[in-house]
Amino acid sequence: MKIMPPGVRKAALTIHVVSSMGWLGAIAAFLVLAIAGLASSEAQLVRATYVGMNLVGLIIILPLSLASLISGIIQGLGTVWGLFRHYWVLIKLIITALATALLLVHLQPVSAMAGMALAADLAPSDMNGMRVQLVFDAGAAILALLVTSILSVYKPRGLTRHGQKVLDRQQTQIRLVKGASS
Amino acid sequence: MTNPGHNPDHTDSRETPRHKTPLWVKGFLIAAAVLVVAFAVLHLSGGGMVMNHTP
Repeated sequence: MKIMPPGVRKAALTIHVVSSMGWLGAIAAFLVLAIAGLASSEAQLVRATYVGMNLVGLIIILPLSLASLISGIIQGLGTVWGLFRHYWVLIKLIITALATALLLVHLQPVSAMAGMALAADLAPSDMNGMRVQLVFDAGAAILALLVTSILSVYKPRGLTRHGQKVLDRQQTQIRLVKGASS
Repeated sequence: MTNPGHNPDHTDSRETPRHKTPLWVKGFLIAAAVLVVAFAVLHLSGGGMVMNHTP
């Protein structure tokens, strides 16, 4: 892919940062609701939390996760960083793709919990395993997104095997051009 | 003609070191493996959502 012009690159970067940070914030809200749904014994609050989690998951988290993944791929392909050249970019890609896939799988039980909460009052012991699991999932998602955020800021050094090959090829071309011009 | 000397940034193909995985990547992979195993164990035990995604 061709390197993006600076204006387009900055616009793509803005979309990527906004969607990624929005995703992290929405997961934080999701975690708070999951904890409230697990800890509360008030049927109305429990009902509200799972209905709210379902809405947040479908309307905010899912679109933001897809936007973050797609804009990240565009950023990688359209800049000198590449998608598979640097370990930090590759690790970010793997974490984001896995998190998005797991999110798609785990939205189904959230919808089911919301349906059950609407259909009947949930006692504190009802579906306890799933309620605990939703807290763990949200916690794991926050951890994963914090890791990707830290990698984006620090950009730790390290070329992959593919990145090293690309660099070697570029250096050979530069030497050939220099040799031809002198 | 002056001798330009050795450029530390220059990597001749014969001098290119073999590809080595950075230490932070190795540490990261070990930590990730431990976390994934821990999460999988939690998921599989204690009435998690495995085989129970649709209540």
